Amino acid sequence: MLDYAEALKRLDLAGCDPPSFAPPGAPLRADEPDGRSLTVQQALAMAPEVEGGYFMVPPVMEGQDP
Amino acid sequence: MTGRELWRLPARGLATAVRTGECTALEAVSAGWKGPAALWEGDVRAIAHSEPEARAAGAGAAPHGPLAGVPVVVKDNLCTRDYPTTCCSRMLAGYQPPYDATVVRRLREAGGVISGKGNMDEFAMGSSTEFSCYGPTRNPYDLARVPGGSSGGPAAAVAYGLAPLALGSDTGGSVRQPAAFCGVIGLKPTYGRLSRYGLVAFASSLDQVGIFGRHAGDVALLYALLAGPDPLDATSRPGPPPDVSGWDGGVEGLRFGWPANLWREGVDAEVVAGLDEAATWLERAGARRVPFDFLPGEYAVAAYYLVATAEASSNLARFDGVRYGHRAPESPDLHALYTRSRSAGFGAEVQRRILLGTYVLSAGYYDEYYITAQRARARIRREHEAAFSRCDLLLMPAAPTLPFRLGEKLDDPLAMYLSDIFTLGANLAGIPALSAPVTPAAGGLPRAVQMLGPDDGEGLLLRAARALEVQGERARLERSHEVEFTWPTKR
Amino acid sequence: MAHEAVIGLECHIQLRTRGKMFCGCPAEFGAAPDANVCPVCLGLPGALPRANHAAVEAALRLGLALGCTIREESVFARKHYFYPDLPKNYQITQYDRPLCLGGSLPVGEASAERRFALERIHLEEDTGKSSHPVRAGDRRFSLVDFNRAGVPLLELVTQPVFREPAECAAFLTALRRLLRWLDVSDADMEKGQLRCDANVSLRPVGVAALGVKTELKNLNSIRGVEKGLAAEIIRQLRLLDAGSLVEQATLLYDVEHDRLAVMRSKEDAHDYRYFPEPDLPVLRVEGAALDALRAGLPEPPWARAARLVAHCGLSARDASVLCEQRELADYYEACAAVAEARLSANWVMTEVLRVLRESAGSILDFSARVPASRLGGLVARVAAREIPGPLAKQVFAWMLEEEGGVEELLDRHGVRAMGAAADLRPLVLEVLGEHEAAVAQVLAGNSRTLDFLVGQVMKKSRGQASPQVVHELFAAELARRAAGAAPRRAPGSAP
Repeated sequence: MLDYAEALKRLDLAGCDPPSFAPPGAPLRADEPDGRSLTVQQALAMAPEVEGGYFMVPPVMEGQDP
Repeated sequence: MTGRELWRLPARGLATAVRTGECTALEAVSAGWKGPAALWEGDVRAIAHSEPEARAAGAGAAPHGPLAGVPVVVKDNLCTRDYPTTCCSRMLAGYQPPYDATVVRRLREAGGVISGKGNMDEFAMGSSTEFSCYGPTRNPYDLARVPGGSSGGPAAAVAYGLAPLALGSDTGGSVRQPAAFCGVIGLKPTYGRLSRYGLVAFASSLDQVGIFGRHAGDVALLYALLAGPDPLDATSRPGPPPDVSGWDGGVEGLRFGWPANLWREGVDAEVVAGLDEAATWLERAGARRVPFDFLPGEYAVAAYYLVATAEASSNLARFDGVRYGHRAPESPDLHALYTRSRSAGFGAEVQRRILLGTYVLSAGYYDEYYITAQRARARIRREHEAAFSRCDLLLMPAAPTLPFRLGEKLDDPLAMYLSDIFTLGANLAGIPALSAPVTPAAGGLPRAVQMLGPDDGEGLLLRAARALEVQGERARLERSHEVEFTWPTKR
Repeated sequence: MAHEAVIGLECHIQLRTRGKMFCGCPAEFGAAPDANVCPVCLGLPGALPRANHAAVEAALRLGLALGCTIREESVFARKHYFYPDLPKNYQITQYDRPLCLGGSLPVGEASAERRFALERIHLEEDTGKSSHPVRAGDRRFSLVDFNRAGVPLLELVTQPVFREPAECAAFLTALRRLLRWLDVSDADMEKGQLRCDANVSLRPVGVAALGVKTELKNLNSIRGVEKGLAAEIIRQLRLLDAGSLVEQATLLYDVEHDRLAVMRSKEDAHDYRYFPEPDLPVLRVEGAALDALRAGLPEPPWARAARLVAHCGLSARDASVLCEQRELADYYEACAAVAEARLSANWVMTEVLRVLRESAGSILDFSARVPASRLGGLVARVAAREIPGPLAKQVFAWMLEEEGGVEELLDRHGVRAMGAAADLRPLVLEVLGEHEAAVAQVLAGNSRTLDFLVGQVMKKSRGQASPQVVHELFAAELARRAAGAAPRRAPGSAP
């Protein structure tokens, strides 16, 4: 697959800037509720392991956080 | 009206029947399950999840609207609150989202009923629907062959009559190629015209929800109901979507590009014959052929696989067993949790693409691969734009071959990727494209052609698809705008 | 060999918006766990981000106030790493095209002012919170709450311009003040609304090249920053003096025990695989919108303090105290509009701030009870010497509890303000008449006796007399007698 990537270099890419495929002028959202909020129950419904409103995971040591 | 006849009706006819009381919504939805599914589903396996109760509940809510009571199959990567949404992956086994995708919500608001979730290649990565954790879907026209992918389930379901319409997703051809392999129409809209909110992301800048139907008019109807900006999707295009109400307006004077250099080599003779047929039909309908050479698809393949795998590796990072999805039991620490859950949850093809994508984005290779691919993409888009200064639509194959056999390409991922060589360009360029069937090949295998349009060219594409319906002498006008469909036959 | 420290700060600022950065969930503090989540900030499959206009605006206001260059087009990017409090296992941030570049923050009072240069400010989303490991039976686990996931953050990076921990403390104090001043953030470090990491390295004095830097994290207070940096500088100095090399590392500082701990060494450096966020369009800032924001910015605290010095004749110190908080400066200026500037300053700094401290209340609450104009009315009377200082303080105390203007309050409590010379002269003459011997002593140069005489007038007036006016009256009358004039008699007294 990466050999195919080499082929790309043969294309003349002069003047081609990476496109942004999101259309220009999609406006920013106003700072209000957008009707998507979940109840705690919904949030936890699909979780493999929960404990009193929290998601349970193996121990998180300080120091893994970059 | 008996159930036997209801499932043959186009969506528009069925909705009329429900609205006028000729049949109930429940009868409309159940017809496909009672008739065709009983005959085909055991072999074809188009559906990953369906429930009589959920169908009945959907039907109960739906006797109104332009799609009143019309059953629609929804690919299993579109979020539905009343059905699991698993992307046919062990990673999401049993996952049921707390929300509907925007297109699903609009479908329901129009009266549509979800008939079931369509089988697919896991996380939409594949071209044959052989990578589903539920097992492959088979092509109803030849059960030894693939229906195409990754939206093979929705395509096959429409082909054998379970539902007149289906929603799929198209990132590199995953609607158009299975549509071609199953002999139905498959539309990929202009990027941003159908909301991606609730579509489980594969490659964010390439993904689009797509529509399957047996009739151009049905596809136009569903498109018009679903298209339009969505405040929940920042990549959805602002402003009103293109008007497709003129889909039956004919193609008089339309110019279609004929890039014959693309199929000089490497494309089955049968497929080429299908192209010739389509070109003849379009000319008979008053369109004009404009021959010119076009950029070969190899460039698109490279650019696509670099961008798509990079974005996919990122989009799939969230699947870790913490908040939902498969969690490897008894993981002693976080590292084990992540590696075990993901190794067990993801199939081989998905893992392969995540690895490639991670590599493409990694420091030291990012500029060489990802940036170069995005620049190539800009160039590819320019090529398409240049083509549309010379023609209104571009005609080309949907795939280099007719539907291939199950297992045929499993040992050769590259061969599998190359089967998308004609469809990738439209995703990279963000333009709309459509597969439309022509007469089946010798032996009865479905055969189709692909047409590409400029931005917001959905109206033109549907007009051309309609012209092919009419010119193909498959149009026998009953109750206006009805079209005969070549149903699969059980052997 | 003498070394100097080179320090740079990286601050994370939680914005004071109603909602989160990329979804409509509330960004509030203290809710029940996982009560403020949605598919987007929980990272559910299929969810997509939408950028919050108010967060962008807050970022722009801060950037403008700090004199940053604002990019017309900036780009959101994904930063990848696996961690349970990061719902998508990538954070949406800004990488090589941030919103603001450059800029500087002035710190210190007027003449001693320094400007500390910034490198950049960008927008990003906060993570959830994971607890320390908990034990239950033979299981060990952590708990994760996603309420904070997606809350808007600004990351502000300084140039490595600090040379001493004290400078960092001063910078953070000034930054905190500005953040509150602009309503960008409440910047309470204890609530994690302002977080600070520091990079510190040493180099020989006079050398331009930077030494190996270490990163200090978990600095939860300004004091912690100062002490942590001091400790790390000492640690590095000791290494260098012993002929060893400083190694790149990340350290945590425990302020309780004044202890540094290595978190990890740089071998674990992450490749974050940054790339532009495909789900969000380029962030465009229109020139007109920016101009409107700039026009609507309040005068920054340093400029306001300078203006108070220039126009109100306040000292730099006093102006700085009054400009600690925008509402306080507003209060002061409203008071000074009706009363004398320096006296108003005294009153606000001593009396008002005292009340705020004692009641732990806010200036806004205070001004609801005692609007600036009301206080100003009182201060104006003091300035005009109609009400003596001690009495005015009493009136102020009454103002806190009761309604009514100065006159009303005096009447209600049966007190007269005696500041007019006409009211006081009779008392002065009375006292002079009653203490002839003392008069002779004062004329002979004994000023303590004069105080005694003034005291007598205060007694007679039950404290309602204005001491300065009394002083002046005595001085005038005694001068007359010294010049040989006949003593004036109080009306109604015996000759």
